[in-house]
Amino acid sequence: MRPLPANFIIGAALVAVVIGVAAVSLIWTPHDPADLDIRGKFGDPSAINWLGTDQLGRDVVSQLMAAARTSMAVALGAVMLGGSVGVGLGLLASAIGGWVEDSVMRLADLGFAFPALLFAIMLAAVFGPSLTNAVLAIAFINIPVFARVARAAANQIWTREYVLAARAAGMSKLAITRDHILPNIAAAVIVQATIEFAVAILAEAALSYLGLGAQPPASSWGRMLSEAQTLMYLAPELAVYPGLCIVIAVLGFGLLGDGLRDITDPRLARAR
Amino acid sequence: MFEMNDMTVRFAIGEALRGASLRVAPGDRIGIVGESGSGKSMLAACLMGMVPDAATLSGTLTIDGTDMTQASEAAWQAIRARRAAMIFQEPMTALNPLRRVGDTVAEPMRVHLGMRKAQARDRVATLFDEVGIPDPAARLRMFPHELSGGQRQRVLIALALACDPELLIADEPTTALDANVALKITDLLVHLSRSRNMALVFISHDLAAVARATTEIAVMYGGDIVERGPTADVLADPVHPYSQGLLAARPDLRAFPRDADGSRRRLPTIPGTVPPLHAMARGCRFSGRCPVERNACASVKPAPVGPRQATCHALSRGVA
Amino acid sequence: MTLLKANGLTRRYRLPRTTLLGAAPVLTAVDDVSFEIAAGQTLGVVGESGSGKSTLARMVMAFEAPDLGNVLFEGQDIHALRAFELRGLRPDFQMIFQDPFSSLDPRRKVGWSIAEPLRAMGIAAPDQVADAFAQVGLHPDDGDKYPHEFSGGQRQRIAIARAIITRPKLLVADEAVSALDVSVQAQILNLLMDLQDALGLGILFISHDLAVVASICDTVLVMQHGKTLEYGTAADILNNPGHSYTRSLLIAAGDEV
Repeated sequence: MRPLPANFIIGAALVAVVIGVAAVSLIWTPHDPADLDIRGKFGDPSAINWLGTDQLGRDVVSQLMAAARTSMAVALGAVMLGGSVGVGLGLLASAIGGWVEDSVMRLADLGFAFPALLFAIMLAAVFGPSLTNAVLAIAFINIPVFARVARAAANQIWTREYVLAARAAGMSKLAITRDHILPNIAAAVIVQATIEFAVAILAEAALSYLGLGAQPPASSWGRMLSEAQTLMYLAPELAVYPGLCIVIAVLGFGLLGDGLRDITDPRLARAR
Repeated sequence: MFEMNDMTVRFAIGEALRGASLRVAPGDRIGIVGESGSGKSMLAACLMGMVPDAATLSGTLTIDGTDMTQASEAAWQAIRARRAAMIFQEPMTALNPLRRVGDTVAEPMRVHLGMRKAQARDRVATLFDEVGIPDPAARLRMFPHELSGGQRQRVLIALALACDPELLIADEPTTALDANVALKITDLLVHLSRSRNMALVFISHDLAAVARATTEIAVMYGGDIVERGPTADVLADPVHPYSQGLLAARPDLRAFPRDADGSRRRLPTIPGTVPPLHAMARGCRFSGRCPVERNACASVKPAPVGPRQATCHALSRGVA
Repeated sequence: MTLLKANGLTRRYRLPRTTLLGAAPVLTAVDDVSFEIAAGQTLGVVGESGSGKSTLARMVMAFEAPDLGNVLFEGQDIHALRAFELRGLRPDFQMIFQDPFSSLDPRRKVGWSIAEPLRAMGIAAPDQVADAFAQVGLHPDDGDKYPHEFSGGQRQRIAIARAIITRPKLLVADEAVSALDVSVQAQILNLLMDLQDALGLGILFISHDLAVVASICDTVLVMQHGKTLEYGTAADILNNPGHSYTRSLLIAAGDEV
């Protein structure tokens, strides 16, 4: 076995930290994130408040942890939703081919052309801003990405001889898609998913920054950034902490996806 | 010229080549025959100093008296392409698709021989002519995908000849080609060997091609050279049980499927399969599948015996 | 009794345009090829790459439809059938491919792959799977292993087991032994002959190697550039080749004549 590539190890470590923190925050945070203490606002880092307090006296660390939860939930929800729909469309296009495939791909092109932020704003304008709408918007921009990746990978598998053998055996296209195509494109899809995770975290931060995502009292890194914006002269560190968290999370998932791609592709080539 | 003595290539899981000895003199045309796992490609790799780093070598390899067994990569680079060259099985993938074939063939001339561009181009045209590529000047400027499989293999042969090597190793040169084209390529290699007094080591599992191209042949199995001798003699009358089994298993053009009562002649086969490297016997590699095997065969390595240098205990006892 | 009858099979492909206004060039991969296979008999199709033999195989297996001509399997035109009717017929004609490395799904256990034709029919029959293993000379326990754990010859046996598990009437072998060593090739050819005797199979055997064809085929079809060059009994064609092309193939196969 080759040693695991560095980007995979670093990425996995960062991702583990972020997910771990988010998970832990479900059962424990140093303080209650919603606990206000106006008199203790803008506190310095201390033994009680490891990174100090924000403008309302809330513990920064607890805020960051709770926000991690939001980011993870949104990213997971959006990628799973967008991923399932996208992969489904891609598999359909690949299995049927012809005009169905062409239509799906043109729809995907349309999706790429559509800015996610605009969609989110539209949704917010119609249905009101909320975390759910943020998830939907981000899921929407994921669909064309997964559709394209799934279709390309699936097209390659359809030409493999063991698929021809399955057709000779009398298997229906649906059965072949389920038994042969899906397992063999899993690697490509998972790699894409980890990268889209990073994109989703950024997207959620952007939407929350604009006030279209997490609504109070729910917190997210994007919202923390937005709130910290007006306090830049009073307490600049309040913008740095959530920003740093975003960087770590995005970097982690990005490296993980990169590393996964390095692991899966050359080994596949070498195994032949 | 090239002399390999008792060469053994050892990996952690087993020995891919055992005690191989081979002498190649200018103008020799030697065939190495064997199936998967026979060690024939490893033998070729030894001649070019291209054995994987993970392997340990023992034995000696001398080129014109110079011991190359523990030679450095730099020393080997002076040998490769200039004194020994190799062509491989897959003409489709061996050429850079983004470069014109003329440039690819000119490169070793410019790098190793220091030729200038125009000079190299002329020499490439001459080489293309020598390997039978029609209209060389035009073909020079083509890309690999514009050429047929046979022409690509000719280009690769030209590439191998670029620095006028003394030894050409052809590792399965005809396997990926159509039968007619393979025939022409085989004949071309023989012609080049004769006209340049260049040694040819022809590695193949295609017995018909080897029969046509070589004067001497070595049969390999499981990392051992089990029999060697003049090509026609070995193919007509093999003495080693494996050679006998291999040659008997060849489908026969003249034997037709059904006899008088409608039943079909089955091909003689060697029972079982080649064991993986780690499961190979310590003694004779062919044990477990041999029709004349005795008790000692699996544990005692047979020494080469007789004019064919056959490694078989039964032969040394005069039984087979 | 005629098992398979091909009449005037023709298949053309449109190539990408070379000029803007002219018609796109057409490649005729198979041009008016006809042949018959009887139960228990083997037809060898010989040709080099580009001769159209693989396209022919795909039309016989109904992976592609011919532009002209038809394929009658036991009297039925397989290309005129509807999709589910064709699927119902599939158990009767099966295929083995050239590359034993790519014809098995690498992610599936071998036993699962072999049972696939049965699953397609909605049957779960573990004893039939065990039978198939035995018939091709493998151990039933091997069903729990993955393809990469086997050698090329063993993988080809697995592919054959998959092809015969539904007790088909016709087997299409597309260069089924070309990627194998000589001694393994002999074993697989013997296996095919044994299975033919046991099941009364008709076999369409595609190969570029005349020697292999000679050892297993009753009738031979020689193709070049999509056309039939020669068609007759193996004895006729191999002893008295009518075309210089066939003669050159014979020489290339090691014939001294």
